[in-house]
Amino acid sequence: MHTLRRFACLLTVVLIAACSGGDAGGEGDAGPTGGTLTLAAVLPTSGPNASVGREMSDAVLMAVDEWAPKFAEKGWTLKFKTEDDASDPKQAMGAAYAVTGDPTTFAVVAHYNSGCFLPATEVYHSAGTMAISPATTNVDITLKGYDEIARVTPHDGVQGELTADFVKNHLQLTRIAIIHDRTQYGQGLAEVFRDHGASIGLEVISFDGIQVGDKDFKALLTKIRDDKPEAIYFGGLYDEAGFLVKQMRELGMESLFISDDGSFGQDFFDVGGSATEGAVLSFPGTPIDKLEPAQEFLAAFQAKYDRPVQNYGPYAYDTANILLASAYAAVSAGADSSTLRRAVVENARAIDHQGALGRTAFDPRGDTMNQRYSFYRAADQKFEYITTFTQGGVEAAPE
Amino acid sequence: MAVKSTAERVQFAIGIALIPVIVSTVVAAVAMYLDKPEAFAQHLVNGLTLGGLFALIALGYTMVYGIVELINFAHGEVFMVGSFLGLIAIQVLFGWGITSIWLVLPLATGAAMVGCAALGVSLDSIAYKPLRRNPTWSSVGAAIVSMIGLTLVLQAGMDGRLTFGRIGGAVVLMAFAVVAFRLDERNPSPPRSTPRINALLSAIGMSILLQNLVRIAVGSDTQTFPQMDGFTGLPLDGDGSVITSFTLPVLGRAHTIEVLYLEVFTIVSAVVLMVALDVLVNRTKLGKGMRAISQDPEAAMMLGIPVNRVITMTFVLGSGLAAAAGILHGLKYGGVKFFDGFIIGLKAFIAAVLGGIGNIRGAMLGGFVLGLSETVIVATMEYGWLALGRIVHGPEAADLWPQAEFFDYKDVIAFLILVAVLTVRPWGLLGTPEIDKV
Repeated sequence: MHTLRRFACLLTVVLIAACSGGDAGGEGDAGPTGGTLTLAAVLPTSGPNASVGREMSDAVLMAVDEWAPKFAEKGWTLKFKTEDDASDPKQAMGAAYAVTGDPTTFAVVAHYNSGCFLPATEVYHSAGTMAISPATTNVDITLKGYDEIARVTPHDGVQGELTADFVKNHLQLTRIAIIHDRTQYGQGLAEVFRDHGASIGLEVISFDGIQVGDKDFKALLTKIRDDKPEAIYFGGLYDEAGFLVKQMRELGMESLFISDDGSFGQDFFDVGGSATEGAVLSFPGTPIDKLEPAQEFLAAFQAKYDRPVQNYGPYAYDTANILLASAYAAVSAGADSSTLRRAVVENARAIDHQGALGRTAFDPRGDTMNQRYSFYRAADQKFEYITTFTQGGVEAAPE
Repeated sequence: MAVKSTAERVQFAIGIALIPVIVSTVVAAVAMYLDKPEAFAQHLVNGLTLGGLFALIALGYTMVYGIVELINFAHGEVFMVGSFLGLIAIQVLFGWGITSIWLVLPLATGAAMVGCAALGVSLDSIAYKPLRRNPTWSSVGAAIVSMIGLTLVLQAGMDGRLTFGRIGGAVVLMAFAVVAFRLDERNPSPPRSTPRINALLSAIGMSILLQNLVRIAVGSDTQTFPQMDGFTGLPLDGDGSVITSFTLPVLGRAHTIEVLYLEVFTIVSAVVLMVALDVLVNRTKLGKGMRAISQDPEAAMMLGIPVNRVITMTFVLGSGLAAAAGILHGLKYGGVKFFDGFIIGLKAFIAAVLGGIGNIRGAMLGGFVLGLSETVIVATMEYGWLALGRIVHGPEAADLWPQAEFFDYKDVIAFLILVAVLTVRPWGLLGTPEIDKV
């Protein structure tokens, strides 16, 4: 079976080589131009984060559709393939092997969950394939400094710190109870918030974990209610955030609910309903509605898919554009299928991209230099922009 | 012989070691009740509500196990489908302008229970019956058609429209489940004739199938239950409140605790359904048949008990109870998605084992014990731990005493209770020891 598949792959490659060779035959040794290029996306299109996975996948598809004619001019067929990681690290590894094993894959839009991207970075590194994540924020991901790994989102170190600064300086609250969802993302964020918060004078009165997929947090909240915190900070995702805020209000707690970019989206309102009123959430970057290129994207997305962008669409769109621009530059410079992956890695790491998120460029670790977080208040099932903080804990005017 | 006596000695030692743990937990519980009656009562209400839901689902596991010795891992999915069907029924009733909860709740619960009963019959026909005997393929076919009907019902979206497809789906679901049920009356055979592992794998397969079927039909987002004035939603001031108050006398002082009507409703309806089931099993002919088959299926068959019909009725009852739990769960938390059956199904299964799998009253008890252990017992332990810190260190306890993070380990504590119970009573709280005759 395995041999057969390998043979089939080989056969495909040989056939493609033969075809393109035939086309280019008259032009001498210009090198093989043309063939198939695949932009792969490994995103959770099933499982607990399927809705956000679908939005990102659709956003990538938009970018691919826009670039395909340009690649066609150069004789390349651009394809797009989504593999499902179901937010499960084991499945993520399988999907990473599957996409990097495909010789036509030149780069990967990689993962929504930090827990999935973290182990899979090794796969992309050993395959020499550029993998840029549109959403993961765990600090450890870029720690090894692999050339192939980058992300367009600010990391949790910054998010946790800036949120603590915001709570202290803007909201001027001190007594905080912290809850996290025990995932690499949620707990990592909550720990940074706790440590930085303690150093700037927040009083952290409790630090507790909950189980993802659980719905009943009343026991924990009943305990926290006794401590009378001014605010509850939750590091985790929208479903648990929604249930937490709903059950807080059911228990008559009036503390402010503060959460992160994982809770940011319509799903938080769907689950939490009117209990979300007044909740404060952080989201990376500058507000999208204040960036001109993002407007174009938002309108185009709405027109194409007949639903509005909820959260990570622009991130996935910029990620895809960075990868496609890098590949386009590479094929324009005459890269062939054997040198393309390396060329994409080099171009992508050196890129200075002006996209829906504003300016994106990568530091030597692979983190974006656009490290900003904005804060929003939930009002009447919508997010109202409050302010933006940049590194060093200072309020910044939106770009 | 030596091995057995060692095991017994270990069991005894663990039993003895548990006594101080139990005693100190009880002492801490009493102390917490006196010190913080509001918090304690709140934990108690949380625990009873959760326990009621666990118990309703656990009954389905235990009834099926008692009769066919099958752990029906698809049962959690039946619960989830029940929640969806209840949601659809509520939306349809709202669409017709029926908003009185006294009409909406019974009708929606009834619809979900009937729908899930049909699903239970289909599950049995598709996945379990063919493993127990020569399958009647026509009944398997009918059951598959009925599942397609279910998909049509779910597929029509969550906006309360009564489309032609949805009505058709509902009719197909019911009609073909009845056909599968009728066809199965032929060709009887004893229920425990194949290895258990086959049916178990089949159950896991059905669980995955159902989960993905719902995901494809409904989507992967959480679907929200509509708000019902004065019953679900947020606590309001004045009229339309979803909260009722109880006054709790402690040491001569009166403490008022506030409970959601929905929580009262959940506990009451769980208890009513369980009493009804208990009467059915102990007082009716069907119940007598169920008890006979669980003792000795072959002898029951020889005595003329319609074994297949009784087994199917067991699936019908278990699925109906799961559907009731599903709609209560959906109302309580305000939303449902395709993934919801997994964790709660697992916990209900644990509740069934805790109570003694195969024993109906055991499942009820196990559900409540598990519900309380996740809330009251965890809270009590943390309270006791902090109180101990205050006794040892006085006012500096907050700095010197190790941080208590018992709520992080609420599932661990619940499972430790399970392990402790099973070590001392391997057959569960109310189960009876199985005697292996050699």
